[in-house]
Amino acid sequence: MLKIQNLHANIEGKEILKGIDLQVNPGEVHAIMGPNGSGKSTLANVLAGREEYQVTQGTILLDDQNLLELSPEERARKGIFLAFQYPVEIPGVSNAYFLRTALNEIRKANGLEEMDAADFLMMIRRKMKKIELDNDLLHRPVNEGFSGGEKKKNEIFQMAVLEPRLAILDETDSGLDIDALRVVANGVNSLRNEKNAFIVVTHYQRLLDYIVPDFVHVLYKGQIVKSGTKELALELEEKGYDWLKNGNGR
Amino acid sequence: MDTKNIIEHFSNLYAGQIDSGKIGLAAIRDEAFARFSALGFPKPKDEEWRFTDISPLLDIPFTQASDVDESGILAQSLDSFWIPDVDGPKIVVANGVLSKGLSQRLNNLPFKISSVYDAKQAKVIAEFVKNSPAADSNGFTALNTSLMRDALFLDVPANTNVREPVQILFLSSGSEKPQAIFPRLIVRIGRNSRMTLIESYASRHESIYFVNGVSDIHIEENASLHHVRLQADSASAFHIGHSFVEQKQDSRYQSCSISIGSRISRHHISAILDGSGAETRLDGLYLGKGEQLLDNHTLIDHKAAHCQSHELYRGVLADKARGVFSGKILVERNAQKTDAIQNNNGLLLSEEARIDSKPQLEIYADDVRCTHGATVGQLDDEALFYLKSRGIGHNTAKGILIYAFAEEALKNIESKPIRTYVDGILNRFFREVNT
Ligand SMILES: Nc1ncnc2c1ncn2[C@@H]1O[C@H](COP(=O)(O)OP(=O)(O)OP(=O)(O)O)[C@@H](O)[C@H]1O
Ligand SMILES: [Mg+2]
Repeated sequence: MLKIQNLHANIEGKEILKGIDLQVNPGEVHAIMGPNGSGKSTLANVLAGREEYQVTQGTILLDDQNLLELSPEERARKGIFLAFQYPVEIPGVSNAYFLRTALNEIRKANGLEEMDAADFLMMIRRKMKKIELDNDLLHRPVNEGFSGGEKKKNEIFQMAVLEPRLAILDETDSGLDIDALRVVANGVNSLRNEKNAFIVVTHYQRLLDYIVPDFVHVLYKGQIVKSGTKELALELEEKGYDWLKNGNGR
Repeated sequence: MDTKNIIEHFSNLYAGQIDSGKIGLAAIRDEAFARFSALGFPKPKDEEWRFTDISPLLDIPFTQASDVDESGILAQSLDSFWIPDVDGPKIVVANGVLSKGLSQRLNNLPFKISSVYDAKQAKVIAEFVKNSPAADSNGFTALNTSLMRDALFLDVPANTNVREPVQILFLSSGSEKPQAIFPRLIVRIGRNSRMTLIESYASRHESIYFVNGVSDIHIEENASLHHVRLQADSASAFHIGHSFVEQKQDSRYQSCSISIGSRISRHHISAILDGSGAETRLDGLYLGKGEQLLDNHTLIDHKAAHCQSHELYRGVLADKARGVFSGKILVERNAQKTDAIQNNNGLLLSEEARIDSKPQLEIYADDVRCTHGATVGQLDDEALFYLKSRGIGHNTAKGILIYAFAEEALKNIESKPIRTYVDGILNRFFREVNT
């Protein structure tokens, strides 16, 4: 589904990603871990098409199509979804209106009919219940004044509504209480199927107890220095990153 | 033209105008013209006009607009200027003169509509004109007083709820020769009465003209006026408008001033809160593109205690458009417990657009709460990316953000049909600046 080869990316002239290779197949969950500032969010943003990052080398293919040629909105319409590490507040735009516009733009691009207000409302009511999102957040401006945890839940709620093929969760677990963590994980797990895939960026093994990954990668200074299965996360939890920094990864 | 030529030019217009001696305005006009001759038009060094260069206006030799031939215009051709689904009267003032022929639903109203040509009302109107701050505020208002060809007077008696919004269209006929038009409106809302008023300015043809209007608004005890003012004149027109509002005890004035037309536009509102418990809400939205200059000046004069004023102006400017906002809140010595909030926010859609903002607080009472804030910024890239990352196209995403920004200034328009109509104007503006 997704094939990243030798990806290099800059921001403001500074090289952050220094040759990333990663392949994600349908049905898989990949966890990406790594110290602060190693480039995890950069990778997530490059995948979503953020214009501020310049890709200087390498390729990203989504089903054999060059992803780098597509605008952020085209990528979203092809099924890419980024749950932001820091969700943005948008004053004056209600959550419900925003989501319906997004859903219908994606549907239109995929040759589906737009969903009318009544059907939409019924569908999102169901999904909100699952994510245990407070009904009143639906009618408030997007993320404005939401608590940290509510913002993260709102990301997962959007994911549940848009049903992406490849979801990238950037530290969605940070700032969630124990119950919310379980709810979010359940949300992800109930969406999992053999056609879609997830890239889960996290600092904590705890999340991976709920969302069990097929692969774990360690990103360090812009490169994937070690890949393994879920046991790698346990090992990291125990030993920290130091043993990798000393060159043991390769 | 230099000042001397300008005054001479307008003297000729003044000398050539129809004599209105028999309606008691001659002396008032003479006086106002003397004021104009002394004041001239504002100069760039006048503090109040520092950001607004009116010299392009002064270079054009305007003539006094002539009567509009009512039979030459079909009432239906004005349909697009009326707000759909609003059932109240539709009043047309063409080139500054009340046109009964083009107006609709003037009968059986709970209030009186009259003009200086109605002998019974002429005296009252003359009295309002005489006492209006327009007589000597500045060269523009003095010129309006001396050269206006009519005055429209809406008089709402006490204890009257005017249910349907009243629409007034100040129509400029447009012609080959640039014309000057001097609309004059007088509104009195009697005690305990209420009304919603839409005052709009437009032309059927794209042409160069100069609207120099004055509105005098009197709101008596416990009365209320919802006022939407829509300046949608031709792209090459000049529009200078002054609204003088006077409020008595416990009255409410709620204004939304929307400016979208004209090459150079200035709307000045002064609201005088002259009785305790009065409330004023001044909202405004200016939408500029090309090389437009849209200027809004407001003055809220808290004369009495326990009054509230809330003010929110928002501007969206594309291309090389410029915006000016100057808002003054004056709290006089006796106006204790004043509660005044003023905000002005600008959104620039291009590198070359610009907004000059000048909030002024002048406070002479000690027990008051006054705040003001001004921001100017561009579209939030993070928000734009967030919307796009959810599949929303670039232009749609931009439109959503601009709309959300502008809408804040329209929130107090209570009437659904008016709000829908204004939303349509907003959407048209986005489409134009997005292509
Ligand atoms: N706009 C920017 N200008 C300059 N440097 C930037 C910018 N954005 C990110 N960086 C730098 O890029 C590096 C990688 O940042 P990134 O956000 O990808 O790290 P991360 O792995 O997600 O870290 P964390 O675990 O703290 O979220 C950091 O050193 C950061 O300071
Ligand atoms: Mg990060």
